[in-house]
Amino acid sequence: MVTLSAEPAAIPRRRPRLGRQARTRLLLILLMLPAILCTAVLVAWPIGKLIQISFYELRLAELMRPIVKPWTLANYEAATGHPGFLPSLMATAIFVFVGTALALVIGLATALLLDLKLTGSSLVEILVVSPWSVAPAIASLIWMFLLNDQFGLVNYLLLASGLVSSPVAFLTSPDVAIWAVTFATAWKAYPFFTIMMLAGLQSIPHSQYEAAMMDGAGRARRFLAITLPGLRGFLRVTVFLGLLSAFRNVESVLVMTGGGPARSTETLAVRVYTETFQFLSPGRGAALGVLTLIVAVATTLAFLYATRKRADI
Amino acid sequence: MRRSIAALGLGLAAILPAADRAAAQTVLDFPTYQLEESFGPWWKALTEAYERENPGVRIKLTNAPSNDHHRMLTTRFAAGNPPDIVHMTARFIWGYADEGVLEPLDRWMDKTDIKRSWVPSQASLSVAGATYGLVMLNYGWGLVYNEAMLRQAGVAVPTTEPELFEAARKLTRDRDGDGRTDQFGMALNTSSSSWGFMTFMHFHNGRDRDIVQNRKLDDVAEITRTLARIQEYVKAGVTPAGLDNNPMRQLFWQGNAAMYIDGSWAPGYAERAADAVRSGWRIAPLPFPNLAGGPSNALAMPKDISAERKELVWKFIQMAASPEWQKRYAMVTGNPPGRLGSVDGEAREKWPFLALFEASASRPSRSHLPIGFENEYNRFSSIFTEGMTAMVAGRLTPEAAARQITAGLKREIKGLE
Repeated sequence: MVTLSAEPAAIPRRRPRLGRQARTRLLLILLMLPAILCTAVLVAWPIGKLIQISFYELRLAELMRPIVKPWTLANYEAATGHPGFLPSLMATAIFVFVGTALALVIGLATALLLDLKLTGSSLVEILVVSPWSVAPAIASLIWMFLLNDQFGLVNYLLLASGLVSSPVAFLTSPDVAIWAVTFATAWKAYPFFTIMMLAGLQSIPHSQYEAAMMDGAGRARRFLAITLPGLRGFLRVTVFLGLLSAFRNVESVLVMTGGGPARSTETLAVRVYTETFQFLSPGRGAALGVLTLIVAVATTLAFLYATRKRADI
Repeated sequence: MRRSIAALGLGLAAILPAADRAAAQTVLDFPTYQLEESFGPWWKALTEAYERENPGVRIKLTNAPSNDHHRMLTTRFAAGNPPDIVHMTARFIWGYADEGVLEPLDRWMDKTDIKRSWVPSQASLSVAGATYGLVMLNYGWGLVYNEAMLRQAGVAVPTTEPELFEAARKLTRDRDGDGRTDQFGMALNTSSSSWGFMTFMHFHNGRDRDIVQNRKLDDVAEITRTLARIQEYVKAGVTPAGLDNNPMRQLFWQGNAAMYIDGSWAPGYAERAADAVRSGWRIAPLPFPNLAGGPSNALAMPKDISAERKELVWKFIQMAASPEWQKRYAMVTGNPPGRLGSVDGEAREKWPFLALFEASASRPSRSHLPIGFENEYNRFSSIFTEGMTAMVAGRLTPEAAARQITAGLKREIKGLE
């Protein structure tokens, strides 16, 4: 006699299969994993270490060892309480904002020129982007010699043309040095803006210009109504990258003025360098590094937010 | 196929012993900023001789520009991966010793004659009774001058500081009559680099004053006096304002300045000088009653290497300090070595001004270092040049600059009175 159980025999339960979307998501995560790990090791860990060091008074020999000292805010107090801190912020502001703006203006102007595709524009293109191929330290050295008040070509030309009666102390006058360094840095940076803007210009459909011309729009009107809106996305990314690059630039100032005269060109990045490598105060240098990072992130986020809002409008 | 395998086997047999030998070799890492300078041939010869004497050891001698070199050293010390042989500008040595990354050398050095036979500044390379380096070169200074310019202006070589100022004034000229100075009497470094601070120390030590004595900073009035004197040179237009080292040397060696102060390496620049200068430059003792002295650069040993490596590094330092190699130092580089009495007649004949620098280096009457605060040298230099460059640019009077410097130093450096 066969007894039938009341319940059917248990069917082995199959694990629910992942949906196509979930599998795609998993695959994406797996593909991104190397990049995530690299970012964690190369970016997040150093930043984490920098923040950690900034809260301790450590000797050079203790930096990579387990920390047994109590944490402190002394480095931040010393960094922000230093009389050079506010002038450094001011120098940073000039160096970063004026430098980026100048690079943008020159970059946009040269991109517009190259976009005209005049005869010999390939040669001009090479000339325009050539500063980009020069190493930052070499570019700074070149400008240091060009702006020298005794042998510099710039002063020679100014004197020869009668524009000035005595040499301009570009790098030795506290009132002028920050502008000279900013200009030299903008010169090094503008080819990046040119290339980005040129790519942007070439992405704007020519038909828009033709339609505008048929409607009788002049050059200025076409530039304001078509070119600038068409470049908005490119401008946003380029200025964002330009600002970040300017914040971390240290070699231009170090080579040209060393932060002087009278600390007039001492940006926050230069102070990080000086405290860490000249004065061997890694804690104070790290605190300044964290403050620089905060200022840089806040500035670039504010810029991105402001330009996004405008785009939404 | 068999032939190929046999050939591969033979090849491997030939290569493997060499690979074995390479694996058995100890490599000592030795970066220096002097390899491309006039000192380079001496360092190369020394390392080759060391390798010959120590067959199992190879020295990896590499060059790094001065600023990058010290940045690299700091980074490597911080990362616990220092080079085996540490060569550095002496002004960093106290800071590194203070940071606990250098090995005291006394247990080896005390068994030699180094402490008895070296320039006086060797004694300054100690922190809390421990010695952290071997002085390779002691600062020896001279007044480099253009003989033709002095003769043409009827100016005698100055022997006192007031004479120096007067000579500088007479030698400052507008040669082409365009209303602008194109020949400066004296090229003085008044930049924000550490050499700007050295200019201050030439004048301050020259007035027989140390900047720090018994942990007390010199008086504001005395600092003002020295700054005011430097300002007189700038105001009189005998030197361009804010001049850094390279432009300063360029002015002189291109024939646009009559005098400047430089160290014992100055003759090395003559090769690249303008023709008219190359044949007519001379060096005289500095016209100050007292000289700025102190170590220029030194060899040291890191703390974070094995005991075996430390022994090998010491062997290298000891070899560099031997009478034979010290003599060769003078002969090859034209600079007075750390070991006293190492300059022989042959070297003096080859380098006509060596005796002058030797005398200058062996009798410094004052130190360019803030005694007792040597580990804060870079901060001293930075705060000083901040005030001095502001003064030179006309932003501060000498007294205001001195007050700013004094306040800055006392605020930043613990224990300075």
